[in-house]
Amino acid sequence: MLRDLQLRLRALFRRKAVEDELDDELRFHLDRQIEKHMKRSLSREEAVRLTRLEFGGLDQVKEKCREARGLHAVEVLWQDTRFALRMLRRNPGFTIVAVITLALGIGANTALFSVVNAVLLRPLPFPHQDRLMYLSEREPDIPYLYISLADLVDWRARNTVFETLGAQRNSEATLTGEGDPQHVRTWQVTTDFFPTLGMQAIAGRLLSLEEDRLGAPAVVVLSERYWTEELSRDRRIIGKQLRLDGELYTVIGVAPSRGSYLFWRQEPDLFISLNRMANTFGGLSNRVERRGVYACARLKPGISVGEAQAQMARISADLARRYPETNAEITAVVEPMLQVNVRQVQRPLLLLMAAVGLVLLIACANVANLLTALNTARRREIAVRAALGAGTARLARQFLCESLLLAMIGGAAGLLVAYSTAAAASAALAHLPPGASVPRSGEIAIDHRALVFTFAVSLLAGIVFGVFPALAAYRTDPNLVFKENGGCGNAGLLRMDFRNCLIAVEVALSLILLVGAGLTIKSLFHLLQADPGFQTDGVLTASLKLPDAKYRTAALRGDLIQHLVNKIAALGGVSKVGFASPLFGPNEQPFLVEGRPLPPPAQEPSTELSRLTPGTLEALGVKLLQGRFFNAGDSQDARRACIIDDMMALTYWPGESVIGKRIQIKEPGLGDANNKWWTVTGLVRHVVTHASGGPPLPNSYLPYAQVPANSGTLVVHSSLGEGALTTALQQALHALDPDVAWFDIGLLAENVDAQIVPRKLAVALLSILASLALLLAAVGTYGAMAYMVTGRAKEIGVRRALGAAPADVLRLVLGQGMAPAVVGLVLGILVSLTLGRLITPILFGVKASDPVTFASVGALLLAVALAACYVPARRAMRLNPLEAIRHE
Amino acid sequence: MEMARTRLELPQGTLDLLILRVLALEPQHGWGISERLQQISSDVLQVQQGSLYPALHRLERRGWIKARWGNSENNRRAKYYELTQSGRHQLKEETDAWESLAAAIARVLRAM
Repeated sequence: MLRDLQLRLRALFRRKAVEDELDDELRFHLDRQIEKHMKRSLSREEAVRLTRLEFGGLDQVKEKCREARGLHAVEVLWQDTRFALRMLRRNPGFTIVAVITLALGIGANTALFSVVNAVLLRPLPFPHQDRLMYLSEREPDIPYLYISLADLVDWRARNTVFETLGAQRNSEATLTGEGDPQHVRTWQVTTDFFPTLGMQAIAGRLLSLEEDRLGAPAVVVLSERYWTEELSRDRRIIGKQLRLDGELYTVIGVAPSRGSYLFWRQEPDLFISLNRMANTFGGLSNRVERRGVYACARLKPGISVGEAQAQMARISADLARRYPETNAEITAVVEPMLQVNVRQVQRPLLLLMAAVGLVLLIACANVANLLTALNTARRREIAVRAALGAGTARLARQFLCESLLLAMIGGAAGLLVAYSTAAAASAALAHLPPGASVPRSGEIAIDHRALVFTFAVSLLAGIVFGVFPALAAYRTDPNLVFKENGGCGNAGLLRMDFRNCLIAVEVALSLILLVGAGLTIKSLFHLLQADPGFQTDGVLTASLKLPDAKYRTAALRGDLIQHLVNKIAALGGVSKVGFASPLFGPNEQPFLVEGRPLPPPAQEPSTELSRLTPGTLEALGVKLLQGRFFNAGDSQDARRACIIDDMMALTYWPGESVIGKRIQIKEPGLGDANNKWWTVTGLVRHVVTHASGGPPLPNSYLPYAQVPANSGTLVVHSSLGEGALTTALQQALHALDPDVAWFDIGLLAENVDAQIVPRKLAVALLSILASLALLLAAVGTYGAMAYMVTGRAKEIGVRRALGAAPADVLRLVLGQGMAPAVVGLVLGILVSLTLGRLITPILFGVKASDPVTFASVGALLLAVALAACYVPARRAMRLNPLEAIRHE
Repeated sequence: MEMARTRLELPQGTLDLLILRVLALEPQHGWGISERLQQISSDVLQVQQGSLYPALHRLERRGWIKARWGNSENNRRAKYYELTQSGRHQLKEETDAWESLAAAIARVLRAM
């Protein structure tokens, strides 16, 4: 072993000495042999001739000795690399086209990988983030329940698997004092929320245990972002007081910013105590109401997710026994935080990743095509090298080296493409509306992982497109090449087949991508064209959030909103006004239909649920089909009423009148209203919302007065200008409660547009990739065809000379080129149909097997293939038969 | 030319064994080995002389023989090969294997 290494090292570093020794050794042998023959009285020439004959080819022997010494993997590599570089320099056209093709393919992959890396793969920015868990509760029919505070207390007391267990609740508040009231996002958190995430104060201190209970003094922790943006990192703020929702809070410290890390997506401005506020959402002993509380926990070192899940299941089962009325079917679920964080964006990202993968495959097919063409033109050179003693293995290695070098250059160029693309992607994602934001998109960058990825992809690409020419080299028989007079006619049959395969594969891959892009474009078109079921002209929306502490009862909430709506309705120029909670979701809730068999758990249909004051649907211009809109009669004490849309009606009561039918809605937040029946009083047109991102859901509406929520959006239809109306709205609210502020005031039309942005982005990306694929496939097919025509110039010449008409030649060339294209087309269609279900969730108003899309994409590709074949075919037609035959 | 017809091609893999055997007698250079092979086999075995050297280099790499430069009988610098300890061991193993193989084949042929 050691000896082997020693020899190899010597071979590597003392190459010259080793070569000289070999020369000396062999010369000694030859000299002795010649002497021996001359002693037998042969002439010197005779002796030399005989010796050469006995010895065999000197160069071959030397090469074999080098191989036997196991020389020089590195030396050979160096030789191969220099040779490959020379080859690339000698064929600049080939090199440029191949490098650009690869740069686009690899660059697109690196750019998208950097997105996937930042969003899906990179660990969360917390110490030992792999131990961070997200806890939720699950009922058989509701996968994600907020948790109840009483359950949280039990979990904390009984579990032995978590180091710390914290809770968090999203809220909003109004900051008053100096200047206009300001709307702020707050997180209500428990004391152990910060230690669970491993966060430490960057100024002052974080929440203590004494400050996190009922009746504790009010304290607030600022987020670093808010501290920086609003207070210019002024440390003197600590100890001062802020007026939040009418109550004075003492600033105790600043918590570090970690970007949009958790699946709560938006970082808050302020942190306040959760337990101190517990009475505003049901109290600490409440097991029924589940209002927006999330739990997170840190596993003890060495405990697995499975162990934690098993223990939490046992605790849940025990709670179910003890509190059968509230906890009978409730189980706690433990999931890694990172996994929960990215759940929603995983599928679209992986789909896009698959799409860029396809582009790279097409690029590889193209380069493989170019390389085989080039190598066929180099067959004489290759044959000479083979005759001079280069073994087939050596030749194959040479080809692989060439393709790897090419791939590495392409990869380096691809990095340049990726740098600019990743920056653009990051910027585009940053402009998404909050509801559709992609977590951690701000972290997109080409980091070391992306570099390693690029290197790996380039290597793989180099092998993929290099292996075919290398295999072809194994088949190269030097004798054949010389005999064949250097032409590239019939002997190229095998490779011809290979090229046909390449054309077919390219066309198939392009078709898959184009179909994907076509379907998403059509989806977007449908979205833009579809009658949304409401009108946006002259409609302004403004959101508000009532302070939990002040508006504790349903009556208080209902009264304020009703007064507000009345006040605004009285403004001159306002024609219709209403309040929706929420407006256009997302608030997907399961529901039951009276008289229908109970669906199996977790398979209940769901609806996009909203609570409305009378006038809201009118302000939105939603069309009434049956019954009536809500009116003042649908009050707290009246019969529970609801309005459904035609989508729900068509599913459950086709051809029937729906008025008087009853449904039950299972929204956890509805509390004791949960198990009551709601009677349909009106039927309206379906309103298209894009909140859930999934397949469209039927809408249903409840009267706000019967289940008043503490947040929502005002909808005003008026002839007033945006500025004037905004001022009027602010005055009206200020008069009723100066501690509440509007937020997100704007024209409805703009809001709706913003919701379509993610789809537009997806369409834009897929379209770019598909165009790229189309371009590459066109170039590839053209190249292959042009090569075939050049290669067969002689044959075509002979045919022409023997009387074939130009049309016959045209038919021949077109037939040869189109056959693989058609095969590829069929293949692509089959694969696309199979893969259809993957893309279905992001489609809107179009099926994954949409025949129009398939037909138009197929026609487009056929046209491209035809054009790619026609140009070389025309050249073939015009070939002068004599010239062609003489050519070689 | 007459003689060439009666010469035998060397079976695959046996060249290594023969080289080891020749070197078991004394250290020898490449030409010497080829001469010796011809002598011992009474010119029956035909070895393309060039193929000797890749085999020598291969054996050296495996550590069965080692090389050093010395002076030849006509006082020229020549590369001498000699058997190493593990080469001796290898020779014994290969000889045994070859003999039992040859014996087995001979038995089969006689039995027919």
